[in-house]
Amino acid sequence: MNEPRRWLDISRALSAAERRVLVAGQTAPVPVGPKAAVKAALLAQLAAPATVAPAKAASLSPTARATATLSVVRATWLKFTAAGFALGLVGSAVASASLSEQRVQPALRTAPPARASSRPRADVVPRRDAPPLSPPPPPPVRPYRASAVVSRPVKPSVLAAPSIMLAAPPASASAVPAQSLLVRSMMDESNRIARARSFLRSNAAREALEVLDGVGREHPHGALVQEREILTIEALVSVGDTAAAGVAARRFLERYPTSPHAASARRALRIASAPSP
Amino acid sequence: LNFDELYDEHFDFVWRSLRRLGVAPSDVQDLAQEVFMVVHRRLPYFEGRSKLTTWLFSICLHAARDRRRRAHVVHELVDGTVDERLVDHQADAYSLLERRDDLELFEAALASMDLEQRAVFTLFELEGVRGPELAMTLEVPLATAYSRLRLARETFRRAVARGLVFREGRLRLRRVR
Repeated sequence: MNEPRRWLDISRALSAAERRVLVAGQTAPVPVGPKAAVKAALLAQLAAPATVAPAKAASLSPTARATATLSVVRATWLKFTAAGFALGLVGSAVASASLSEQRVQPALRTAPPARASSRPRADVVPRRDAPPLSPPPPPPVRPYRASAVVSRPVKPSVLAAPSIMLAAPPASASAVPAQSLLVRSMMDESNRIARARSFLRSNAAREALEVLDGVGREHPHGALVQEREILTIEALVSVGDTAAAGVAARRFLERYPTSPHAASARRALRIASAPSP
Repeated sequence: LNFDELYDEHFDFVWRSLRRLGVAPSDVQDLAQEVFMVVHRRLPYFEGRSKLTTWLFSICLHAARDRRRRAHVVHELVDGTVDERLVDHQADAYSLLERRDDLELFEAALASMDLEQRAVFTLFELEGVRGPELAMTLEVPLATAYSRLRLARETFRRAVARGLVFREGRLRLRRVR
């Protein structure tokens, strides 16, 4: 098979106009605002419970609902398959007496949990309302580290890339610890920002700056980065460091020209540029 | 690999990919959120057998496909510009008259492709993904991927040519007036 080459790698593959159009598409600008908005929404969504209870499913997004439905369909299919498989084994056990009994039992015991759970034999698997024979270990509780969210060991049996939306999450993938870490991070950032604001309102701008400095170190890309920066600017104005406030305000306006806090930054900039008495 | 870093570094990529896959500007934000939810869930199991961007693109592709499927059910326009069930090339061509810059022309060219063509065109021509990785991402045999690429290229050329002709015509009309 002839391997095609990229148009942009071949000098005469395209006319000048076609190349211009293609390059324009390749370097299409992305709006600035949605990045923070999506992150905030993502954190809020991650704060919601991980399990999809039927009553809660209605409040999920359509994609999440579709994914959950597919998971249920897949689980049901597995149950029926497993039930058929188990019945077959039981049938063969009856036919071939004790020899087959010795084979069937280990086979069922080593079957994956999803299959075994559908088998209604009390001697192999407990009833649904009974406690599990060996309860799963509780999810580990670790202090927040951003890297900890993704530093869990890689499971070789899980799909690597395609069929992402259609694949149900693995049963052992406990999203709860990761969620709680992210939520804890968000809450920490939010609480500290609130504390800084309260310092600032009570004319303790230096304390506010200290708190904000700490937030900046620990959550450099936090969801409330704009709030942190604007409070820092206000605090700098309050302590009389108008030069630093001006620099910070200018930087803020360059980064977030359409921010709801832009007016505050402009006000700080005006104060910073005003001639000192 | 850290989710926060991944988000910061690849948000633009995800956004652009969704737009290139025909997701309407008004829907991109919601869909980007859904994509990153999947990324968050799957990232611990990403084995690095493909490039991270290819993996992200495959998630975007599934999300866009899913959205399109749902859009067909509720009879809504998917990309805000062209609904492929109602394509009227004449009307589309006239609408190109309103588009002046190259980016709009690029988007119009993509809008005249179906989703599978967009996906292969974007991956191959813009992201430089080729060979087995291309086939794996699109979940089709390589020959099928290249066949789609050939069709996508033809569509792109036709759409750009049409757009340029109408742009030229418009300029002439202005000069006459």
